[in-house]
Amino acid sequence: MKRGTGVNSQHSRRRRVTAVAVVAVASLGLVACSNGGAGESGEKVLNVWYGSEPGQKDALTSLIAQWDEEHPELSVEITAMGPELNPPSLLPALSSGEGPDLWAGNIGSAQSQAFIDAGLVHDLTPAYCDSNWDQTIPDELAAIATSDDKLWAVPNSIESTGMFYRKSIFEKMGLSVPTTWEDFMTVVKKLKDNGYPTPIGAAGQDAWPVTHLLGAMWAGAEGPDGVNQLLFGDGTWTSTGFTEATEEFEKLADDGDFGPDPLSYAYEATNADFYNGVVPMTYTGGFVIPDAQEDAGENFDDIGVFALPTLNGGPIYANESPGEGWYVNANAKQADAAEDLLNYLFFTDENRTKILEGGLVPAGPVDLDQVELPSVLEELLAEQNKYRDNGVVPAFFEVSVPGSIFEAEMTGVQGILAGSTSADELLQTIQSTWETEKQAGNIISSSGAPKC
Amino acid sequence: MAATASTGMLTRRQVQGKRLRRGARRNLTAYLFLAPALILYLAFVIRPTVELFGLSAFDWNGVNPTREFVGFDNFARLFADPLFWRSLGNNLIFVVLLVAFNVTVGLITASALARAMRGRLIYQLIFFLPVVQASIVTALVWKWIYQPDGLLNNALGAIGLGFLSHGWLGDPNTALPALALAAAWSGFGLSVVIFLAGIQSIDQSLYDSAKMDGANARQMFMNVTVPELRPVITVVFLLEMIGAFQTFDIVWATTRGGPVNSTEVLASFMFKRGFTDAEFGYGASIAVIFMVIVLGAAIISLLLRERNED
Repeated sequence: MKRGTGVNSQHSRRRRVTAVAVVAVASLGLVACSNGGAGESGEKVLNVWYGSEPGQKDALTSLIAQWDEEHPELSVEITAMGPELNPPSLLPALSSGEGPDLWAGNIGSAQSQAFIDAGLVHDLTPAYCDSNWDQTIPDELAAIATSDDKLWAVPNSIESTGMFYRKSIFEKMGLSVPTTWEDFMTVVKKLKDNGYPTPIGAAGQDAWPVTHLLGAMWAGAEGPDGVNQLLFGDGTWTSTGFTEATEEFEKLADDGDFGPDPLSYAYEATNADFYNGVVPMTYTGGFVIPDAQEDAGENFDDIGVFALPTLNGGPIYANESPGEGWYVNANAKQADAAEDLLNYLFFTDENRTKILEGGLVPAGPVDLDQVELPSVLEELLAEQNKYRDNGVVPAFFEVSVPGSIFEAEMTGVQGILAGSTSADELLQTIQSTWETEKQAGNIISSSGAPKC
Repeated sequence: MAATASTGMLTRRQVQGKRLRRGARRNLTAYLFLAPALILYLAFVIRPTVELFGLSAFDWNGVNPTREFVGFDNFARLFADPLFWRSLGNNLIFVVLLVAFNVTVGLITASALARAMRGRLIYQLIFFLPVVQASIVTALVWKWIYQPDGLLNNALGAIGLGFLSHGWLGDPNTALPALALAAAWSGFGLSVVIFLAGIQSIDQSLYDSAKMDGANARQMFMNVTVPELRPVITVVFLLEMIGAFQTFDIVWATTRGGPVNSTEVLASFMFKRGFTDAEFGYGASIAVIFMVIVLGAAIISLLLRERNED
């Protein structure tokens, strides 16, 4: 019998193949069970996630880079989360025990509260008291980030909203800044009758921008007491103020004051039309300013802002809401470093000034005399200071209500713009959802700022 | 007749035993080679599916270490949720539009390509390019096309059809068909390629016979191509249907389910409830129903096809 042929040779070949298969399966099992070794070089890394774009150059990114240079014992890795304040990737990252050491997220959302309830967020109260953060953060802003008498986030990017307008168009039309609702409607009508079919840019396709206008109308109609009664007491969304404001919003839509097709325009397109002078007004906030400086080009200095007059002739209120909160991971390997970075960013006068010059407003007082602000931001802050003595209302409601409420508001606003939903239907839907969330214990109750 | 070891002859039982052992060794080798894929399938498909079913019986926010058992409450809530029915309805419309377009137009295009003498490869590449493009890119491109001052309205104006200009994504009546068209554009090339491969495998003699019988192009298409491609059509139909049910990227990147929920589909509805509202148990119940619907549709399609063949 020749070698390599016959039954014995076939058996031998089969045994070799079987052996190879066994080794392959065993290897796969070892790989699957291994803990991996990537990144375990011994170097300390501070992982920071926040709402930036890759390669973005802004004040925060620059300051973080500076802090990184001053701390050679570790290195900072920034993950740009884009514009979403609660990116879906954050939840599985944190719940798996990994995730960032420090991140910027929404305050008051269901997701943020879920992180807190699950013990995934580091208690910042000791830092708040020991590092004198309480001397900087106003109590009403600290209260938003507080539950069970503990501070869970550092509020930042304090946003205010207003009616942004093109000064040159107003000048051309002989219009002045309105201070009453009647004057405002006169402005809207004159613009519409004189070549501006979209007097107020609404960005209805994205819905959230125009909810800020509706929210401002609500807050103006209800005032600080009415809003607080709703959010923290037994107030309802169907009260007189909310109803009148929503009906007036519906009238604006029915009269075409948001243009012939508001649902077809997204946020970026609406802003582009505003910068190009196609749309003379749009209700937006300070968050638009960093991008506007670049996108509006030479038209940036032509942008002005005024506070929206109230419907019932009542006082105009200042409005403020934290655009984001900075959280530290309860499982952070570099918790001390994260707190140190927060201190560096938001509680040193020099850096607070730099953040403000970059177009974002840090929580607490800033010496405006030392700051060279973008012109429209100066105007926006000046408007808030002008009316601050009348009281302060939220700039937007979504930071204080569950996501389902905001979702109902956005859908309802689109329905009003489409003519398929009435003001009453919108408010009834929101009220019904609010009651459901209250029963489920999802309405955030504020215990006030922590007591040091 | 008994055999003895000294004679070397084997009993029937011994022969059968040997055959079984040989078969078992062959099977073992086969299973060992299958094992890696099977392990991955069990780990990343079966196990999550089983966990999903389990999760649907709980109220869980995705991060809390404890989960509250609620039984079938999530399903009861789901069936009473008007937005679920709206999403399902939108999804079904989306599936019908997408499948109808990609199967019929894909088949006709492949048939025409099969007869093309020149440039077939170029056309195949052109049709297939959108397939390999990232879905988010497709979404953003079509978002731009559909803008009021976008490519589509400008093109309509240029050919004297400006009266048809529209806010395609801003109108609740046109947003869903507009997205279906965008999705069809991105998947159409795959249908063409699959159909073309099927057509090229059809016996040419069938066409020759039909030609001799006086059949024209349309008759050959209906009486030769379509019947011969029935198994391929089923495959394409299933692929397109399942893909259409799973639509998410194009909706999320353009309308996020708006305006007024007119483009809300099951995947975006599930994503919002699960991740945005931190209701993982409820989101899991949506996923379970979603899976049952898609599986049911696929099984019904296959059964219908088998019945037609009988």
